[in-house]
Amino acid sequence: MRSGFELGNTVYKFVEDVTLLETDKCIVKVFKDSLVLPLTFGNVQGYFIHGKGRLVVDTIIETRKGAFGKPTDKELKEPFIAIGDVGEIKEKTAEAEPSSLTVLGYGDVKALREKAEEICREVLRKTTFRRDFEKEGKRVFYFLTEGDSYDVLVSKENGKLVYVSKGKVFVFSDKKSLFTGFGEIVVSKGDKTVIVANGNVFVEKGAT
Amino acid sequence: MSESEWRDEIKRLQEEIAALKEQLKIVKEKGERKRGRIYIDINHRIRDYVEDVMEGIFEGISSELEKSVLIGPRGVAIYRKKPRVVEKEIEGDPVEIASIMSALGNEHRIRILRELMRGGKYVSELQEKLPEITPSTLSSHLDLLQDAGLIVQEKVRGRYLITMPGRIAYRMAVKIHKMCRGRLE
Repeated sequence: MRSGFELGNTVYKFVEDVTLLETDKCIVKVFKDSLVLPLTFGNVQGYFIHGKGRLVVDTIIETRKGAFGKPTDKELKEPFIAIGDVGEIKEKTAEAEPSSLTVLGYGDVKALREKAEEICREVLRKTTFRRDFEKEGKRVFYFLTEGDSYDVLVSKENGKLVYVSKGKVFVFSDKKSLFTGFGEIVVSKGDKTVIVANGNVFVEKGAT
Repeated sequence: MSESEWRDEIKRLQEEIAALKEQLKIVKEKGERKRGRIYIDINHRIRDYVEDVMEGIFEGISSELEKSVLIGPRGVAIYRKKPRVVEKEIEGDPVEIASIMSALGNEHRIRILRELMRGGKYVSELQEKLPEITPSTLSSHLDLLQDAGLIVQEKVRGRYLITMPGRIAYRMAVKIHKMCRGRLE
């Protein structure tokens, strides 16, 4: 196993719906009967999760010219990895029976661990976020999508949010916001906003 | 008549002649002054001709103004070139355009857009601001505006926000209304 992460040996399943992340801008939910395998990235706790869930991100920026972007609302069917403080989930899980693994296409625990290992390796190979895993209050999610690509969601306690999906980048914080997607680019910093939309460039100064 | 009487008579006649000469001189001077003025009696034909000419000139000026000057409620906009861009912008599928524009064709939806122009709002806030719209009608109006891309709803908090096309559509509707109302009055 490559150094940098370590997988647990026991596979659990959620016994109730669990909200892993909820802020003003995003929600990550996992539904009952989804499988979860604990893992660690260095000193940081993480989970490999596979089952059913929901991802909602309000990838919308408000400007004086109007709102840009659309909310992202995805059903989570593919496996994903959650790293960082996603709350205490021990009380909401129980050891998974073999039948629970079979439902999701895993013959046994080994098969599930192999899948988890594959994704963890891919995450470490592709991402640069791993250096910041240990920062307090940071939660990082890697969602495997169709076509073996990844959506990445990073959330901090101070409200900062980064969401990268196919053709779409969204960065949100109190002072700075950025959105690219649907042929639009919006950058907002303090009281200044630059908008590139429909072949036009708008530069604004003043509160949104 | 004596010789002295003849002389008096001649002297009187000479004075009269001098007076007449003086009057004649004044009349001549007045006549010269009046010579610079031309008085023309304009009959109907001449007046009609002049009116036709003036009408033609005004039509020409109006046509040029329509091409290069937009008189709106906020002032006068002057194009240096012919507004070809406007012609380019109106290209598009009439069915799609009508579909989007139909979202503006309802006074309740216009009121909703006007409220959202002032800032994002939750349904409850919109309901409070627009009590004349029933909750179910408000919901269907919001769905329609959202389908047209004029507003967007946050999924997490649920607030409704007006989009850039929404702002443009609302402003356009208000401008058209003001211009049309001005002409009707």
